Amino acid sequence: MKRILDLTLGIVTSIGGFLEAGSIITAVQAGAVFGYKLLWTIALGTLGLMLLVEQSGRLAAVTGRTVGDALRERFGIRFFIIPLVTGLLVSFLVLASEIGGVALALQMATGIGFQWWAMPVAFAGWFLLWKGNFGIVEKGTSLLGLVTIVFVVAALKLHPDWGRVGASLLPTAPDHDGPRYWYLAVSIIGASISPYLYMFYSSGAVEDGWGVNDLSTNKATAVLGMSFGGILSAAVLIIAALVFLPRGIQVDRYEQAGLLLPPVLGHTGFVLFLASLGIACFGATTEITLAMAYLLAQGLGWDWSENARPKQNARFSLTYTVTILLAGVVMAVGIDPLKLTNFSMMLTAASLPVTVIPMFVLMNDEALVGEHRNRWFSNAALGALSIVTIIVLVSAVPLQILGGS
Amino acid sequence: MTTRECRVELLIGRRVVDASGEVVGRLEEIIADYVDDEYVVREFHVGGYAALERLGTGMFGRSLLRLIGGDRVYTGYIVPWRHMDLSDPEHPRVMVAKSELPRIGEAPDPKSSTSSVPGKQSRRSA
Amino acid sequence: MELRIVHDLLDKVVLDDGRRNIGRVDGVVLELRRDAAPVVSAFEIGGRVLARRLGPRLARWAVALGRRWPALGNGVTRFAMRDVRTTGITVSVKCDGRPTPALAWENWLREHVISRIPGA
Repeated sequence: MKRILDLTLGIVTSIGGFLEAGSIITAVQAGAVFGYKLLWTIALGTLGLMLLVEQSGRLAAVTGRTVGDALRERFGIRFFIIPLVTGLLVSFLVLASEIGGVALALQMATGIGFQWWAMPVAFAGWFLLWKGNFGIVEKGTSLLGLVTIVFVVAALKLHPDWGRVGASLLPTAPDHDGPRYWYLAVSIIGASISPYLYMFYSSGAVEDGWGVNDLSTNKATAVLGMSFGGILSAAVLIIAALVFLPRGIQVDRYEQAGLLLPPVLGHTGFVLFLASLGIACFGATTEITLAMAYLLAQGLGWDWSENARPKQNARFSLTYTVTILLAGVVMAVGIDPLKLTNFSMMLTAASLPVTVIPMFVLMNDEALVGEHRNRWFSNAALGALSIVTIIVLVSAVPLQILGGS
Repeated sequence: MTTRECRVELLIGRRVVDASGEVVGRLEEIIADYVDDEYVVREFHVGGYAALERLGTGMFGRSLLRLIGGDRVYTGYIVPWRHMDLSDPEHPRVMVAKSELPRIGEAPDPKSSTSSVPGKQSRRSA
Repeated sequence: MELRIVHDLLDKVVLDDGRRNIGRVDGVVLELRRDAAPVVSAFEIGGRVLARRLGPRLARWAVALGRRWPALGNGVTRFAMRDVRTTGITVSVKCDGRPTPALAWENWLREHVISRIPGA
């Protein structure tokens, strides 16, 4: 019974925590310009994330080590420094854009500029991390994040042509504006497979004391949780395709994204959009901050439990404090939140090989995971994903130049 | 007995050559036995990656190569302590010919630590 | 009982006698003896030791940093291998890690920064 409860909670928090600034914005932009055509990238990204989440959870459950621990312990500091520095850099920019997302939601709700909201949002996030424990941070924001189900409701109300939706799950080439198409394709992959997500997941698994008995729960959570989460992203894209594309609305400001739900759900839709944006981004804010602090602390061997009081892990607490406040400053000085979101998604996508390929090695290391190492299927999928991430890396710079707004 | 110190973390990954100057591979592991309250080094494990050795990649790269290439890529050698010359830690030398070194995985030596052990399941506690 | 230095010791988490995390094994010292097998004499925890593995330039920078704030004892903590109890996933040492340089930053930050913030 407890197992079912845990599983349900795990899936529910995965759904609630799935959307964030990057996935919302890229899905809206994709739908507004290309209709359903980019749905396959959401499917691809979700599958990739599912794979990585399951493996990072399996790693933690079987060995008691997080991804951060394992990268340092198996490959030494000379290798670890690469995912450490890239991870921190990229995550920092994503974090700033998430704070921007919350601040923009508040701007649209109150009329007060997002720059004024940036530091209060950062402080609120910090406060939750300082006073809360892991359970509250992870589950609390994710349960509230279930408000994002409004996107599924709205998508259903619009009665899309499900045949065409289904057909778009297979990769298709664009019929216009190729560079922009591929730019968005890559950005969506970056938005779906954010490294902080599956690194955070393994830390959570260790915090919650997962063991070998939790492996099936882990697999179910990864598969079901991420699938349902992916459906949320797809819903956003579908709505944008049906609401923005016919009107020729291209989204290059957050305020335009705010026009997504009112045509379907009226004023309530607008309120729910703001709530979804704000809550989803706030959840991501706390998660990314923790993920960054976890990576640094685990790599260097500091105490890192979020369940402990800040005094008990001084360096860890200081790290997340400085990180979240600094990210707030980035928004407070007025960096364009939408541009930063687009840019950080691209950067995330480009940095994927650095974290995905090591997972390939770790999960096949018999000395590390023993009998729980990857079967051929996981390896084939992970290998294919690795190749995709390399292609993405190589194409990132030209795409940013040619396809970025 | 004169003693000198040597840093393991700077030794690992260095290219090891044999008595005739032929490259054996990269130093990957050092095995010690607990004897009389001390950890006494028994042997060094040097991984030979054939042509790929020139890439000089670190632990991660070599793990990846082994994973993809398997036995075709990797041949490991065991260097007993008395055959390893560490007088120049930046250029470790084996004092015999490469052909005289036992291969990892071949000699069924009970003391040899070539079989991998599944990960332990003790959880981190802080 | 066998010890694999890279697999079981280097880069592993170190716990003191109170099961406190004091850091990771950043370096391992081998004592070379004439006409006798080398002995693993100690391991070290320290930013300087870690930096040296990343390159000589970074190492010099770490040393300069340490000289700038000597009060923090940004030095290296060496643990004799005879005080090392187990080596498995983690490494345990038989002493209290709190007064060692390994936890100097942690202690200083706790006292002077973290504790000053309400709710810590």
